[in-house]
Amino acid sequence: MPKPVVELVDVVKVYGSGDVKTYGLRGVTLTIYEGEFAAIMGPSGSGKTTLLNMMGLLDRPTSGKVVIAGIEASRLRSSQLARLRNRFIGFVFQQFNLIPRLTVQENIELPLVARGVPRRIRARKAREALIAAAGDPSWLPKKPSQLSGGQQQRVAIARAIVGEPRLLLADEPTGNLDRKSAAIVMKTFMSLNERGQTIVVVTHDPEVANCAHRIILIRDGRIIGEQEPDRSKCITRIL
Amino acid sequence: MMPLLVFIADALRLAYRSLSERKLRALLTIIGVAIGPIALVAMVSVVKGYSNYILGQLEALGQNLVVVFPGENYHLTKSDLRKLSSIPGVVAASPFYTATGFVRVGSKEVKVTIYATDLDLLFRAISGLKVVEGSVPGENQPLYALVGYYVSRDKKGHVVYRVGDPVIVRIVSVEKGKIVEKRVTVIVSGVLGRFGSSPILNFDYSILLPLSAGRKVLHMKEWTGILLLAERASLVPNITREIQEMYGDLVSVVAFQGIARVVASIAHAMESIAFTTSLAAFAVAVAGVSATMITSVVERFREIGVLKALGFTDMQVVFMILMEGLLISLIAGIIGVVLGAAAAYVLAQRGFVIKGVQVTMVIKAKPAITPSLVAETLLVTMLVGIAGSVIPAYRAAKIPPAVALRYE
Repeated sequence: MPKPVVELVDVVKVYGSGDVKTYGLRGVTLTIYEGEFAAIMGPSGSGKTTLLNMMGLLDRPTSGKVVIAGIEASRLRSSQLARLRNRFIGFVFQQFNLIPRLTVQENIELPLVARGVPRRIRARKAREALIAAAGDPSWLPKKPSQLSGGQQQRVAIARAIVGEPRLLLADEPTGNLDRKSAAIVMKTFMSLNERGQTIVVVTHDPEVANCAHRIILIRDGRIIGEQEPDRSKCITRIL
Repeated sequence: MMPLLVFIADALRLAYRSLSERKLRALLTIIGVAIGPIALVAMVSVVKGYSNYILGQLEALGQNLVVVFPGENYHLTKSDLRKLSSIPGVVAASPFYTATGFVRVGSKEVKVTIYATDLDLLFRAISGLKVVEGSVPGENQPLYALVGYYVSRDKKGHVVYRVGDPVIVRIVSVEKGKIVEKRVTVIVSGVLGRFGSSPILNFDYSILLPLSAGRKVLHMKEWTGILLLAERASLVPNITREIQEMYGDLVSVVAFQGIARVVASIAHAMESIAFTTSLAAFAVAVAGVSATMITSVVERFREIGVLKALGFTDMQVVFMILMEGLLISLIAGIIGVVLGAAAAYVLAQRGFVIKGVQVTMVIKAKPAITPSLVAETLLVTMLVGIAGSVIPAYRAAKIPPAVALRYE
């Protein structure tokens, strides 16, 4: 029986107050298990990113529970949340969010910097992570601006996995990429998943969602059901 | 402990990378911050240099010496000398005569001060006084004199008077409203070593005679005053107080120690003024650092959100921003100390005019750039950097990561 990595119990997120309340999530209950590769799919404004932020401890629910690796996170202090994020969660963003003035290696090392890991160990881990993310070690001394979008996203994946997180969260990871780069990124996710990495991808693109094992459909802040993915429609088929 | 040290080193490195990305802005901020340490080092070191110099001179004049001058209508007599000698703590006492004269030294006539007193007492009291040639004349040799360094030779160093040479002194005094001029001839018994200029006593331009010369050679009837030598410097205030109680306004008492104390307190006040003035520059610098760092935080809103998503705690973010401020101020502090020291030397070149009892002189003293001044300046400057970064760092810490990541 696989263990749950993250559990959301009746999570509600309300933005604003009084008459101008908007609901981000209207009571979401969801469990992601170890080794899973899940896609959360829904139209824009459906609450996908809010849901991902809840799982990633970037935001606190208005009500409901978020349990990550067995720890109830909703009542933790922000410094404790930061440490949990650092230990248990890796993020990949649509915009890559690499720091332009730092080299590829320095960008990948950032989660380990927060952890106070010595430089030598960091350098080795950054290299390993970049290779695991289908990147080329020759990028390490380069600045992100010297790489293409697809390459930058693989650097971002390397940064997300360098700390060996239990859960990898990706918010529209292919949204800023051409189809071929998107396919390479999804192939990277699939191979990481094959090696045991739990992954949740938020997307509105069925070609991306079909690469996962499980598709969770969301609309208006509610989970409206799940769908069996069709791997034959996964974007990696174009490679 | 180890991860914390690693993080501190990394925060410093990242701060440096962040500053070097916006070189012009960092440079302008550094210049702004550097003005404070420049002002502080320049002003305080120059004032301290002058005051050290004056205090050094005063101390050389003898911390154990007390001088009693008669008031306008009072004449000091042998009974006063006995009374003063019997004050507890006084180990020696001697009357003295002073007069002003002129001596031809080479092609120039120089103004000299003539003292006639117990020369042994004078040498015991004033440690800086040394005989480099010849010897001190005895009490029974009223015609023999010790001459000051710049009486024995001219400014260029050419020796004019040697031991055994006669010196003609033209003594000018005012008697009953008339200017009276006398010529006396003394014989050089010894030459004094260079004493260095002093605002109060100028031994380089002086002629020292035994006490007996006061009446026999200078033909003076009244003592100019009485010199008292205290057993220890710490007894001087008591002795001064005792004399004031005994005589009231009939005499005035001068102790170099007291003057030194007054000068020291004035110097201290001047240093405080210099310090306070430069604080204004530091206050402006705090605002400058704050403006730079706030701009930097706003520009990096999204980046800070990313760092937080990756697991940097609020405290780590605060620390990184403070490190940037600290780095700016440390660089500014070092530049400021160097430029401030240079400015101090330029300022000190111009000298400082003091009107003394006998001479008006320009003091040229090296600025006192002490390790403690450098350390204090760097410390204050670094505090400026930290103070200026506190609000920006707090703002950065309060950035919600979910909001920052959506920020375009």
